[in-house]
Amino acid sequence: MPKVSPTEEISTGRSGRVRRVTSSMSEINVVPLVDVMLVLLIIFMVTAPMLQRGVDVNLPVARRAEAIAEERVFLTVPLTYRKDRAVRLGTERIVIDVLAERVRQMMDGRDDRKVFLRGDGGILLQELLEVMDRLKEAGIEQVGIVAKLPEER
Amino acid sequence: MRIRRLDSIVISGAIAASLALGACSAKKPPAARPLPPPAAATTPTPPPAPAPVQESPIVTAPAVPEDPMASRTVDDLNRDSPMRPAFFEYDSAELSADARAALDANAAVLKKYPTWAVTIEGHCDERGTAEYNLALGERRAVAAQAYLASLGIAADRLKTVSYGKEFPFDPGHDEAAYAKNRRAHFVITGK
Amino acid sequence: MRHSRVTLAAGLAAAGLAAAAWPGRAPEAAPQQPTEVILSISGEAGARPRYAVPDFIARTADAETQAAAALMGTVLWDDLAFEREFYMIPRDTYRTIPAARSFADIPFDRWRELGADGLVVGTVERAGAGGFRVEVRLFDVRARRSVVAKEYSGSAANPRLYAHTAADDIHQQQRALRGVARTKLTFSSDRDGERVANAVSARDVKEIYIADYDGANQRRVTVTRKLNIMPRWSPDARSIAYTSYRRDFPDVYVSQIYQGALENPTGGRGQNWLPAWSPDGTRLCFTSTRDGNSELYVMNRDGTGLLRLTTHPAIDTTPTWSPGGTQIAFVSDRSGSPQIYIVDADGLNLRRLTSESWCDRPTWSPAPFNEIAYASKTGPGYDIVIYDLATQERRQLTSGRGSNESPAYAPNGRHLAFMSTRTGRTQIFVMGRDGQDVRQITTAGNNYTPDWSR
Repeated sequence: MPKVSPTEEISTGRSGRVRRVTSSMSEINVVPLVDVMLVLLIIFMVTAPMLQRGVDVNLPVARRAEAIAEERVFLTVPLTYRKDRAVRLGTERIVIDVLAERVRQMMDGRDDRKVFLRGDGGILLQELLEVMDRLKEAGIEQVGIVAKLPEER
Repeated sequence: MRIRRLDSIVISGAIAASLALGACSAKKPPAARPLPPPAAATTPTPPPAPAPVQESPIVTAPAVPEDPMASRTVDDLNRDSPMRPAFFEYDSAELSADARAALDANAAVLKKYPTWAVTIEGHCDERGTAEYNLALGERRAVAAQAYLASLGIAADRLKTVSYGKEFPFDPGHDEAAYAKNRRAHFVITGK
Repeated sequence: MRHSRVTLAAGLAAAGLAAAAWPGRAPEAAPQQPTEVILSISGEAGARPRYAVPDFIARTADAETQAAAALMGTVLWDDLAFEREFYMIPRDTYRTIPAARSFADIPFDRWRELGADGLVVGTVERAGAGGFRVEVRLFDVRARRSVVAKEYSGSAANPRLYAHTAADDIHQQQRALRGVARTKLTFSSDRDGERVANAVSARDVKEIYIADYDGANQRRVTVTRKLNIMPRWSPDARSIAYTSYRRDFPDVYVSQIYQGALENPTGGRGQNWLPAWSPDGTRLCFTSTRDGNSELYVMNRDGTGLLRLTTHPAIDTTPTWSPGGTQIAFVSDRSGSPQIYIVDADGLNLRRLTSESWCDRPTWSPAPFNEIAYASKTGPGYDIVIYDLATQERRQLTSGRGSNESPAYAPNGRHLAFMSTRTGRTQIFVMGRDGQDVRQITTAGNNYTPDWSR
């Protein structure tokens, strides 16, 4: 059996029983693990069909990339966010005040609590975190940050 | 009627007790020699005996009865009952040897006081469901009733009623409590 | 557009249970136009329509009207959320949206921004002494037009009833669903802390209580200082049959709660308990020991026409009728442990349903579901289980938190009430028929054996 990773220890600690699970994997409860943590996924993109969704943003560039296959929820943070505090959920313009509720609505009936964030390369980390705060409020467990390959235009 | 009778019993009890106390303190000798405890002192003294009551003109008639049972009210009898409960196993109305012994003793009491009538209450522990336990309690009461009838007690002196798990004798949630709650309980209803 | 008037009388206001006027459910007013077009609001593809219900608009400035307006909004939101047909947008997200002052100035853009497909707006105003006039409209936020418009007037004593009625109307009109917002629960409770009079040992009385389906307006029905247990609503929801020890042995009584009348159809012949109404309300099935053993009997409501249903030396008890009134499910220990059996209402064609450790309190679902819910022993305690009669599949709804017993179906079959010890004492809970959305109904004292009005 593989040795228990630190994240699992944290999760058992949260439930009040700090103990080291050494042998049995059957004791590890994945649900609270997923439940409470905002896991950052860095997804590297190959294809560009995403660019058809919503407004055009100048995605950051990353050298290693993976394709995103399934139908996903995309949240676009354009450069104009700085002025009007509005993002795009899919194609719809949404002000940040109601973002949490709108994302919660979008997740109603879905199993994966996952959102892909398409931030403009010029967006500040502070601004992105504001948006991610709202996603956390909406119960999103995983946020992927979308990038593109250097050679993509 | 019953309430009033109860009141007078309590008051007369209080008078007897306070008289006994007064007697005690009056003739208490200075020497600390242990006295043989007077009989009255062993009777349960009601909480603080109200002093003014002892002026009451009612004379407590001791009239030492030949049988203490005969002079007691039905409520008194039930509070310290000469009838023993019969206990049962889980989800069962079968009479164990212990249950039979208890019922034999009860039959003897009922034969000694042929005017007494009793209600046999069937009770269950909380592990059964409320609905089914009504029937189970009834079955236990009937089992006790049938056994007493087989010992020659007239059936019209023995009423049955089932309380299921509604009136536990022990509110606990362990086997000791459950065992106390699975019973045929005897209540004297007339004498 | 649908526009109809319904008159409500919020009877049963303060304490007067006995003679309070109560016209039962507000009758659905006949549509005024025969060729009425029902407009329904749909959500986005694959998603439930999203509804928002802000506070109602108080058209009269007094404090009572304003409080009622806020309460109606909250209650209507809860009622609509209960059936889970709509995604209900949480009320705390409405604060950024300016409140409308009339139907004319609703900021639809802002509601659309919040994602609302449907918006329920209501107005409340005083009408005469101690009365309200309430208007409720459901708007299609995208089309900016009203698709349901209802007007209610009646007493100001129970503002919740307006919201309940509007919720049932919206469910009916938008989803062709019979809502349960105006239904009631009944149960027995020892909350008063009273002891049985003249009892030898300390024995807590249990009295029959009723409450709205959401636990509001809990009221005592019996005042006997004895044991009163296992109440069952008559199908017209105007009477409650129950087992009472008011004469120190169990017997079946029927309380007409709005008239204050009491009937005793079994008349003390043997011990009788656990009455169950036939679906048409004309007959009662119950357990009796009149022939020396616990057997099932059926009699007319007035005590005539006695029919013995079972003949077996084992215990036969806890009956429930099928929705059509043709069959009766009950509990018997003829196999050695309590199990559920079904028999035709004439006593023929007996068959066994369950083979578990201990099963009790079967409750037959209303149509369109064809299933029986019951309590099954799953460990030290019980859990609520549903047995589907068509597929013969068994589905466990609760799992091991406390003991869960005595299920009772809501009249639309989508919810169950039950009693549970999961919070320590015994309390009444309701849940969806999928076991989700568990809500606690009672908190005072211990509360037992619920039943849900038709």
